[in-house]
Amino acid sequence: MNRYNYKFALRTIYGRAYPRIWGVLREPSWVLFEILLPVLSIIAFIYVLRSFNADPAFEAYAVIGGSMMAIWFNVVFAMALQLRWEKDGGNLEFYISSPTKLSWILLGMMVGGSISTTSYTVAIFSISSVLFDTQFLWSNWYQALIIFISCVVALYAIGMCLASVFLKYGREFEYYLEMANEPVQLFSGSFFPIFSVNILFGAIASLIPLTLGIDGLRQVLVVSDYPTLISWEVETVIMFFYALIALRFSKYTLNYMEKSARESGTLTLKWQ
Amino acid sequence: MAIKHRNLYRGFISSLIIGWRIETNWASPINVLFVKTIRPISSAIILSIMYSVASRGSNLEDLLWVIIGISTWGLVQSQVELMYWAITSEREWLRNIKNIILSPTPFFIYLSARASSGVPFAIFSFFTITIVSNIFLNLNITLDSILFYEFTLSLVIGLIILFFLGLLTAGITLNVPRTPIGVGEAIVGLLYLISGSIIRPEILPSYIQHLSTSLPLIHWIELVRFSIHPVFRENPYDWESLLFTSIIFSIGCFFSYVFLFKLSRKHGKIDQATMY
Repeated sequence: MNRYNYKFALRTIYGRAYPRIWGVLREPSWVLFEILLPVLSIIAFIYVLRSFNADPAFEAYAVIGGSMMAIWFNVVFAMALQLRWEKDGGNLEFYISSPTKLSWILLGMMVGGSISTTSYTVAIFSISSVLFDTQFLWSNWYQALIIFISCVVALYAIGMCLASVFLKYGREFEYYLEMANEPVQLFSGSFFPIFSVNILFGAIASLIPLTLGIDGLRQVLVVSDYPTLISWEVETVIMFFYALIALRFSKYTLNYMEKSARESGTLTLKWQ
Repeated sequence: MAIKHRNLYRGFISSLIIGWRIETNWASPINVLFVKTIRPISSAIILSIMYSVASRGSNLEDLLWVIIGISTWGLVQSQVELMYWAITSEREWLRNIKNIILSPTPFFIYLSARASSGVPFAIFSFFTITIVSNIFLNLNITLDSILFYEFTLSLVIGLIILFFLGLLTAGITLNVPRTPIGVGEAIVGLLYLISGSIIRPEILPSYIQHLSTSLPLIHWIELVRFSIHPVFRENPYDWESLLFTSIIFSIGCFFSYVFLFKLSRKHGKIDQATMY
């Protein structure tokens, strides 16, 4: 890649990240819903735990898990589905006919999306912690930051891969992803320690980077002993590994899906 | 155009069929069953795991109270969600809402038929969560303990209340084209917390308790609990509160919908596609 392309890529990434970061300020009600709905979900699960007479540590688990689920929903609905929505809105033609590359545009979405989602997650986490007076080990903040960043990068990289799948399969695949909401909550262990169920179950569930991220954050932030199998350092390395593979893989899937969708004539065919 | 009963009936049936096809994405019934089964089963397993790893000996009544509340709330989510999703999809994605409103079938008939297409899924989801939880958590729900007459009546009354709640949400959705889904989800989410499905009203602040008991949802969910398990039958069921609040609530929702529908037409928001 020459110097011109390098600058051009950065401009594209900045251009696509910009609306993700600053666009919310033009529609503040969206911020409210992005934060309010996950907080409501956390409140509900904490009351369920209280009805089970659970240890207060479980409330901390639920706050962490519920806050991290916001990232998953953002990856699914604002990253993976984005190209399909752009197709329906008529923007995809502009993206493709512009001199830039789709992968740079997706990278811009990833950068912008991850920054805005991080702010939502911090807000959800803070509000829920204050509401239920949940205690965390704040002295481990830098470890939590490392785990959090690696988890966000891995999830958004997977979102880039999924975006190309949506470009080809359209609405059909959207139904399957919507169906996956509760199963992802189950397999990511959002509201319970994943390895306390069964080691095999935990190991299989750890294929989802969100599971590793939630597990790692609980290890370093929760005051009481947390039942786990993999240390947070190993989980962080695995998540970065995931991110690298997914970013590399997304370039190929995007090219393949774009070519395939062009050939079948579905690339700019709306409402499919 | 004069609307005949035949128009209403045919309009309802056509809307029901199109609602079913859109909701199931024209898939085969086997695929639909698979897709619609996974979500409630996952929810039930999450609850079961949470109980098995977190519980320190809660009593059966508390556990039953929460599980029945959660499974019943699935009906609310499903029915109300379908109403505002119908508007969002017709306005934003299919760009067909003007044609539907101009057609001889009244718009609320179309909406009710679209929502009705989800009734089998919602009821299926309710039974799945209850049965799976009963098996894994040993809730002692037996066929002998269920009052079938009251239970059937609770489903019928519940679906009527939810239809009117859905209409209200649809009316609001028509007027907020930039935040259609968020508003719907926020309404359902807030009601979730104050309707006695998951949080006991006694622990809420007194002014929220008054609001909560003035809504029919709390009385309806109590009726479901009353009909399913004897542990909730220590006192006779308060039918007057359910009927009184249901009638007032339904009438209020319907007229609110009529007002909001006219308001959205007046302000040109009916087909205001924003791609949010």
